[in-house]
Amino acid sequence: MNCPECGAVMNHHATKVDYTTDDPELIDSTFGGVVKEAYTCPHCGWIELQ
Amino acid sequence: MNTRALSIPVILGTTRKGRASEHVASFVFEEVQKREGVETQLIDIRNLQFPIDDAGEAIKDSAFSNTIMHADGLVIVTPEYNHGYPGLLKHALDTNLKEYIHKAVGICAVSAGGFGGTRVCENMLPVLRELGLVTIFWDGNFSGARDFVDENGNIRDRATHEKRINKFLSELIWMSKVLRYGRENISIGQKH
Repeated sequence: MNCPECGAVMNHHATKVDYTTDDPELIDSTFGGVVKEAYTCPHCGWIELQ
Repeated sequence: MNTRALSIPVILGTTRKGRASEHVASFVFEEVQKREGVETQLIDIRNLQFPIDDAGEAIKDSAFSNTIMHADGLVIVTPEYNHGYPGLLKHALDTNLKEYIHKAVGICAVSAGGFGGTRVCENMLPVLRELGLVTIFWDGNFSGARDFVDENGNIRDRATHEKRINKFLSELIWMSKVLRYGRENISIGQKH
C-alpha cells in the first residue's frame, strides 16, 4: 500500500490483533479480535493499521 | 537508510499536584536533549485533558497521536502509586494503538520509598507489550523521590543519576534505531 501522507510504498512489518471492536462481523474467532496488518512508510514514518 | 533525526519524546505520566516525578521527567528530558541526532519533547499528560466519559481511540488527541506517530521511541516517567501506575497515564496511552507498533519504550519509575518504582515497572510491561511497544531491559529507577532535588531545585547526586540514565538511553536509542530500520525495511514473512 502507499503512504496516505507522502505516497511512498509502505512496508508491512507486523500483524496485530485489535480487541477493541464489538462488531461480531469483524472479529476473527480464531484470534478473538480483528486481525490487522501494520505498515510503516520508509520515507516519512507514517503508520497504517488495516 | 532514512536520515531523519530519531524522535524520542518523554511522557510525564502523572497529573497529581506536587508530583515529584516532574523533577525526574525534566532531568531525563535534559539528558535526551544532549544526545546527538535525537529530537525530543516533554509531554505532560496534565496538558492533554482527555474526557473521562469515554476511553480509547475514540478520544484521540490529534497532536498527541501525531507526536507518537512520528516517534521512534518513548520514555515513560511514571510514579509508583500503590504499586501501580496512575490511571490517567493508562487513559492517555490507550488513546493510541497503530502509533506504537514496533517502537521502543523505556520506563523511568519514581517512588517515595527505596525500591525505585520497580513494582510499577513490572506492572507496566504487559500493558506496553499489548500496545505493540518493545520494552528495553534497562529501567530508570528513582528512589526517595521527595529528596531528588534539594531546597534550591538542584538534583542531588546528579553524577550517579547521569551515569545510570546514560546506560538506559544508550539502550533505548539503539533499540529505536534498530526498530525503525525494521519497520521501514523488513517485511513480516520476508525470506532471509
